[in-house]
Amino acid sequence: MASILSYLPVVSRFVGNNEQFRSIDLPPVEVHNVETAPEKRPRTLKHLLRANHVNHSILFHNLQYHNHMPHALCSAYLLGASDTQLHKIYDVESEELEPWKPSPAEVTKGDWRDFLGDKRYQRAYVDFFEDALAMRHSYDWKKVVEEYVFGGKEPLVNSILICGRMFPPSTNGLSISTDIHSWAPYYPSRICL
Amino acid sequence: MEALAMATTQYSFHHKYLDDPSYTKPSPFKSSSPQELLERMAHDGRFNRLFETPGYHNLRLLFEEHEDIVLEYWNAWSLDDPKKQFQESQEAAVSLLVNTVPPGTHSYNFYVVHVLTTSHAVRILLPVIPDKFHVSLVRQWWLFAIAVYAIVQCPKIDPDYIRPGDVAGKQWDYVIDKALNGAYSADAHFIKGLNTLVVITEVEFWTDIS
Repeated sequence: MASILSYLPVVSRFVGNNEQFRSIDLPPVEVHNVETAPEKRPRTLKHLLRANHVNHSILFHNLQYHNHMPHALCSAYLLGASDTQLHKIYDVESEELEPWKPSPAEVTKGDWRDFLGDKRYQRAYVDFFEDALAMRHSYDWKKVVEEYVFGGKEPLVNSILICGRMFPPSTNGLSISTDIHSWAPYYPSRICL
Repeated sequence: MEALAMATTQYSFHHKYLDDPSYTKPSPFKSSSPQELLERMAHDGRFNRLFETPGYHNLRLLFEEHEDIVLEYWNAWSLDDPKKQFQESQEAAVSLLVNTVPPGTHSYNFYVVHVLTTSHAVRILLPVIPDKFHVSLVRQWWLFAIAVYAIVQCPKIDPDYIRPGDVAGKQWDYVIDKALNGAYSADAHFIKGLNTLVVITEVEFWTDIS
């Protein structure tokens, strides 16, 4: 019984400590740090990810499709792709992507939950979280994630896998296990920027 | 921060199943095996009649009109030993992708590959997120897996689809070569699907899945 009750946020406070939060204890995965790696391959990955960040919105084609550039680049990198192969992926993926478009308005700390699910605010949300990163969390992205993914009454973590467009950000937060840099959580897997 | 922007712009009603504890309730049946429950779905006549054609367009209808069946299966998964059950869920995710493609076809499903990649995402997240979200994150994946399997109309999962002659002598280096140099080497979903299959054996906590 306790095992079922422990699913429930309220009830779980009253079951034993061992049952309160049944953790799944696994070792963290390997982190690939490409931020300061001197070799051409990781530098190429870093440059292309940044280029994608600057040049392409995360949603495109009437806000229906997801920008999968980071998925493709990081997956290929992890499989050992050369800098030439990474460039090829960038060129092919770029063909269908679109530049950023302005959002209808800014998102602020007071109203950021009011626009959840509104894809037109993609740029505003990026700006909002980047501002939070720089101005309130001293470039510690884990603090931003702590506040906005795990904090609050209905935390975003409960909506990160299954989402409206059915393209789960399968990699969303994958690099929570990685470290640093403003857009690290976007990138699939264990790549550290 | 794009990840957070993605999470916010993609936010949808599905969060309520995790946020509202009333959706977690006893099911008429239960099993600790995701694979067993998926097979039960495949033989559950109710799913056969839900949609005319398989696809993403069924998603909203699934939850709007058939939420009760979804929740039945969602709540049927018992996680008395969550680590073991998570392992089994990863095996089920692999099986769902590779064992639903009949011989001679290449009909790998776009949505099904996300069941696998999200399972791997859960694996990477578990060691670094607060304990209290561990089981709910795994259950969030399970809800997603059920939804995907239902909207693609529960294709048969048959390990015998993989014919020994097709894989004889091939190792992971063959897979990696296809990912990086094959005809689909610039297709994000092809690459990340294969990458997940490759790393799932080295990153995850078991090795026998290979």
